Amino acid sequence: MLAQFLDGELEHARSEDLERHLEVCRSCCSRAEFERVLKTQLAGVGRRNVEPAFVERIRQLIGELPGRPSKDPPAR
Amino acid sequence: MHEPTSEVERAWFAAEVEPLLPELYGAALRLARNETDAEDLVAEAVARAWTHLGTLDRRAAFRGWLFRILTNCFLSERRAGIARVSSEPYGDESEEGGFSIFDRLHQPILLWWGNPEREFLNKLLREDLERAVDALPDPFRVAVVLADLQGLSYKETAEALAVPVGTVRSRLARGRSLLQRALWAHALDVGLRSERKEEKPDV
Repeated sequence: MLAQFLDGELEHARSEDLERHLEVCRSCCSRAEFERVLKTQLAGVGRRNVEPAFVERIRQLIGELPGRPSKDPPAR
Repeated sequence: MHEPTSEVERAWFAAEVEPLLPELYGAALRLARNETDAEDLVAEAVARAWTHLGTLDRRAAFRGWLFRILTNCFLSERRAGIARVSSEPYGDESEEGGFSIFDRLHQPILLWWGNPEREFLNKLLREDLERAVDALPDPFRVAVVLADLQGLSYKETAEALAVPVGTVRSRLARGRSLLQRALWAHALDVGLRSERKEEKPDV
């Protein structure tokens, strides 16, 4: 339940209950803080600087893509 | 047939894609696990997104939609492997009883004058996290990349993977558990931590 709370996926009422608990339970509060910081560090891994040459490759690709977007669903 | 809206669409598309490149490349690197394949994966996703732009319901949903396509590009190359792998057991991780670094480190008696779990996080390097993510089996890695690295909601992640939200929840739980186990093993390897005698057995 803590994971869903930190992910912002817990329904409002349960989220409020958990927040109230975290205010009074030092152990759970410490655990939540640990998981929150680790989650933030992981989010940092999700971004990587891109080389200008790669940006240029994508610009060129978009410029050269043919035609108008179709209405077909993406292939899965 | 060429319509004038096409170039307006193209300019809009380029303006949407370019700011997302660091995130797309960041996700692709963790999925493909090497730079060349990651760049090709992003390029393939961009091309496929343009081709199917007409299927995007709401332009505000562009980011999640593009990550869904990126994921599909990756999975379509690995689909056979995924299908085989997803039914295999991975250690003893379960949704309820996963591995927790916090449980290894937390010492209530030190509450007022020490914080070993914070020290552990402070010593974690970006490359430690990257290595741990890369070591995850595909089904868990993809879920962690989408939800944790890219901040997609459970619903967006479920749509990207074409699985129910409950499956996303359980894959995330197992993926995060495996991730923490890998980080902990690495910390032991490089001497950041040592196992204490009073620690819980590795169950």
